[in-house]
Amino acid sequence: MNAEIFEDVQETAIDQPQRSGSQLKRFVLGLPSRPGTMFLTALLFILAVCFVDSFTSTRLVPTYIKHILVSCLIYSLLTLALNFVSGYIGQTSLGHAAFFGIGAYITTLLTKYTPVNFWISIPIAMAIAALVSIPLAMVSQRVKGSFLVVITYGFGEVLRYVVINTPSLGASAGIPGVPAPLFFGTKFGRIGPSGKEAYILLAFGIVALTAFFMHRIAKSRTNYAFSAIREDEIAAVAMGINTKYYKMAAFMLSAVLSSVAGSLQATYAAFVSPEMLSSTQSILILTMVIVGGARSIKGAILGAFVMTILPELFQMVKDVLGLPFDPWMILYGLILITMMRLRPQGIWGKGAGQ
Amino acid sequence: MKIRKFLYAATASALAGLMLVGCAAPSASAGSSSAQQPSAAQPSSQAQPITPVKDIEIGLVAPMTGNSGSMGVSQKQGYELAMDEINGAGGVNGAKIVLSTYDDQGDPQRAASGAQKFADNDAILAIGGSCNSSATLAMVPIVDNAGLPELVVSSSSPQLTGSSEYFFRMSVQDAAVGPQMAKALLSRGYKNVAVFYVNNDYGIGLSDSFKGYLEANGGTTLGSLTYLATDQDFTAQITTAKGMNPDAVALCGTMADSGLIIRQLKQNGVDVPVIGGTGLYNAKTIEIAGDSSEGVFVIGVYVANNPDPKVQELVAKYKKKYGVEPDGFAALAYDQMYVIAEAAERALASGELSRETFKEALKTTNYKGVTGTVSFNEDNDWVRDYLTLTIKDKSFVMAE
Amino acid sequence: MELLQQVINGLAQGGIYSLIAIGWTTVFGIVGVMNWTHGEVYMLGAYVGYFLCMAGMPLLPALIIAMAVGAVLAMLIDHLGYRPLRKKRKMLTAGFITALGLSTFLRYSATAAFTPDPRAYPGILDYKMLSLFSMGGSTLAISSIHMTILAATIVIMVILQLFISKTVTGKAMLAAAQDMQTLELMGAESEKLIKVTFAISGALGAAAGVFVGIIYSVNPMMGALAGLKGWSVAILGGIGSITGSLVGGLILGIAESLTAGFISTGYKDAIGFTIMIAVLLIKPTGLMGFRFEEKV
Repeated sequence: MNAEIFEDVQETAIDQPQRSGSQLKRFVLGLPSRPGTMFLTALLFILAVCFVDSFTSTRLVPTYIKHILVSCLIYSLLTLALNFVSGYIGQTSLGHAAFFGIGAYITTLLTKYTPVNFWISIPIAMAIAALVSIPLAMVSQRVKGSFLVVITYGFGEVLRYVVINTPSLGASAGIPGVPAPLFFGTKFGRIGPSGKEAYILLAFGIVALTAFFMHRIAKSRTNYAFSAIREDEIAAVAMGINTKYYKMAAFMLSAVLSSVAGSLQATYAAFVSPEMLSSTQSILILTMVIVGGARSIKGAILGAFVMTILPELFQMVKDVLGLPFDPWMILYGLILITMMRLRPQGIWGKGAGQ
Repeated sequence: MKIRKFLYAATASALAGLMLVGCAAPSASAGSSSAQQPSAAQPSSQAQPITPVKDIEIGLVAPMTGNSGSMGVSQKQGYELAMDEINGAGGVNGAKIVLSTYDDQGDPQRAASGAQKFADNDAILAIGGSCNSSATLAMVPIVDNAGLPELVVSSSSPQLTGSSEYFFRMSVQDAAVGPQMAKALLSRGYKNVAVFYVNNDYGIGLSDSFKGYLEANGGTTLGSLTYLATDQDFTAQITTAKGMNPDAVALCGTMADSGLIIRQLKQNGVDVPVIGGTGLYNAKTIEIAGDSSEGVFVIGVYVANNPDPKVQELVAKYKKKYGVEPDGFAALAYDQMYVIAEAAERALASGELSRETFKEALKTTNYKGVTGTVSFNEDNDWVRDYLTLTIKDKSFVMAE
Repeated sequence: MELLQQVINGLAQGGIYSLIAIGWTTVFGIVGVMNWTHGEVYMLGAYVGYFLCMAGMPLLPALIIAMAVGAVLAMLIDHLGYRPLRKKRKMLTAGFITALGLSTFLRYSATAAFTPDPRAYPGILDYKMLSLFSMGGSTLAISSIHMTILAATIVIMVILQLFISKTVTGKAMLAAAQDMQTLELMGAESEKLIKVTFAISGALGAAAGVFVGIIYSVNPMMGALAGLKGWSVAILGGIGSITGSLVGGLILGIAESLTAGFISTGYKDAIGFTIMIAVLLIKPTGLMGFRFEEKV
């Protein structure tokens, strides 16, 4: 059963009703289910979106769609990253925007004010994010559940206040004019018909790599350790699993990947602002994971796409009807409430999340 | 299994590489002239002898909801009032002006999305907005890349000066308002000032330009006190300010926070003159400050009770349509729509109307509007004089 | 002198924080859910009070009606949002996300209904600065409104404390905070207890909202910051402890005031989070909390 390749190793009785769900999913979406085929399909789709315009005289795919696609991919990377913490080891973190922001700010500062280029700034940002995540990971050894939520939230907010109150970091205005990365001497904005293609391919490549890496983990012994920690930490310790090590690893991986997403976002938007560090972002990333389905690669990516595209759609509805308020945020709240009632494990989730 | 996966990956990467190489080449050569406009009418595909008069489509990216929602709504209403009049009088050479709006909620990322959306639509001639400097800063690279003219009525950050040849600014500018505030205080003999500023681009920019002028002209800044836009309690800052014994207090913030500061200053017994920037020209400031608003000075571009008949006419029309007096943003937006129409007319007269010709026409604008005579300098900024207003019996009047 | 004045300002501010925190802490202590919607009940309470006062109602009846509305609203939130999840025993993640969803829903519905612009209560309370103490030309002062609110907070706390220690329901609530399961085995109706808890929490939240509305202004987003202050204070004082909320609120108020006055006003709001993190790391039970088990 290759279809179950992404499934949790632990098959429990709770998974039963969800069997029909997976068939339903395949029936409705008709998507290929083998990872390799999925990757190829996605790649072809992305390439088509990017380069179909190159062979025609008119713009078939509006740049706006490509712009949204870049956002979707960057958020996909964030949801995959958060999955290590909120999915695998089952700890809710509300401070991940902090790492997103660290990546963005480090890349901005390095590319704008030093000779360091974009490609080298990414690993530097990753290293710094990893360092910053260590204390948070240490805390997660001691504090769990709601209190960890509070701590991660507070951590993110404190970091945001530091940025807002530091003029050299652009204070609350942010820093405009982040230079575009170069690809063999060509600016990213000069590649492809609209200048967004290079960003799409780069983001897609990183997302695919991350997904592949997670797919390997899901099939490895590490996943047993993660599952044990998630289900019952005391038992996991008793079984001789080094929970400290695995938690640390999950937090650091998560932070590092989030920072890559931040680096991408900064160079793509050519602009960073403290809003990237805000709790709203953290909450958004977490809800993307929850809506898509925790511990599922497809779920994480789906959640990111759905929660990025829906607001844009509602934006159109609102602009057409000329509503004096934004229906999306109200609906966003409703989606979360109904989701938790009807399908708490998320669209693509597995079994009980507790 | 493994081999198959490897093959997939290899094929895919080869494909990607080919595509990249194949597509980087033609566009790299085309990229030399950035902001290429694929001409909307391809002669081969649409060979119509005489095109009927097309509408002139304008986009607006501005916050319609959220904390800065009132600014965007004012701008939209000012636009629409002017559009009704222009279209009612036969439009621009018979072409009607139509407006589509994109709500950015004051969020830079959304503003960038909106700018991109309009930039893609070749029918859009120009866009207005956004209101917050941070949102506008995120939009400028996009409109610059697409060669889409952008006009704003608010976004006062000095960082926007000269940011793009397609960016035109009719809003007040921090760099000019700050000195005006300092002048108004110095000319009345208040030298030692405590400054309150909201911790965002607006507050920082305005307070810096204010302090610069004040100190260069014999005044002293006793202290700068910062707060966040969401704060409601300023007792701590006011206590500190009170200890400095200032001659006057300068507020570099927006209506909601400044209204509360004015109220709390009086409540805490700091009874000195207060001056604020253009953001305070709003009825909400008076509502929130209550009786404490009496005698507060405000810098403005226009005042509703200005006896100038042009202004009175606008106030009457606006009130009739929307039931409220126009604020500064609405008045500027009203003028801006006329500036757009007038530039479009000149562009049409000189040949065809495109984004490029429209931009050139805007550069040579000289339009006498309600808020003054609009013209753009080499940075596409409108440099102008301001009014010093004061609050009397809960309404704004010209200060002596 | 200025130091003392800042401490007094902090106390005045802290009274409000305490009032917000009690509602938060009782729900968290008994139901074990991070009730994000508390800030929204507070905001809606402030709006109810605003509309009643604008219609010319005197303050006291307006406050009582707002509190009643807050109580009903909080019970509704529990009934529609949390209760179904409790039945499924999925409180931790699902409850938390539901709370987030409800809070977003209420906040933006309010924005749609009332516009995002701030509004000011009509001047119903006289604002006088009461001199406490004069020395060498400078005076320590506290505003009459803040005094009133601090007094009201203390009165409410005393009533609540009496309710908890003297009535059967109150004692059951206290026991529930310790161990809900055993209590159920002993025949107490946990659902009824939870309803009472939410009602109390909502009423106090709405009262805090009205007070804040009078002193400052009302806007649909006001719940966001209030909710966070509620957390910080509840954790600092110790989850489930009413005295802890009072002490925690006053400490946070003073800490913020001193930060703003002597360090940097920009970090005023960050200090609450810093204290909160420190407390959780050093003494997770807070100042006055009893041993608190993570509820799953």
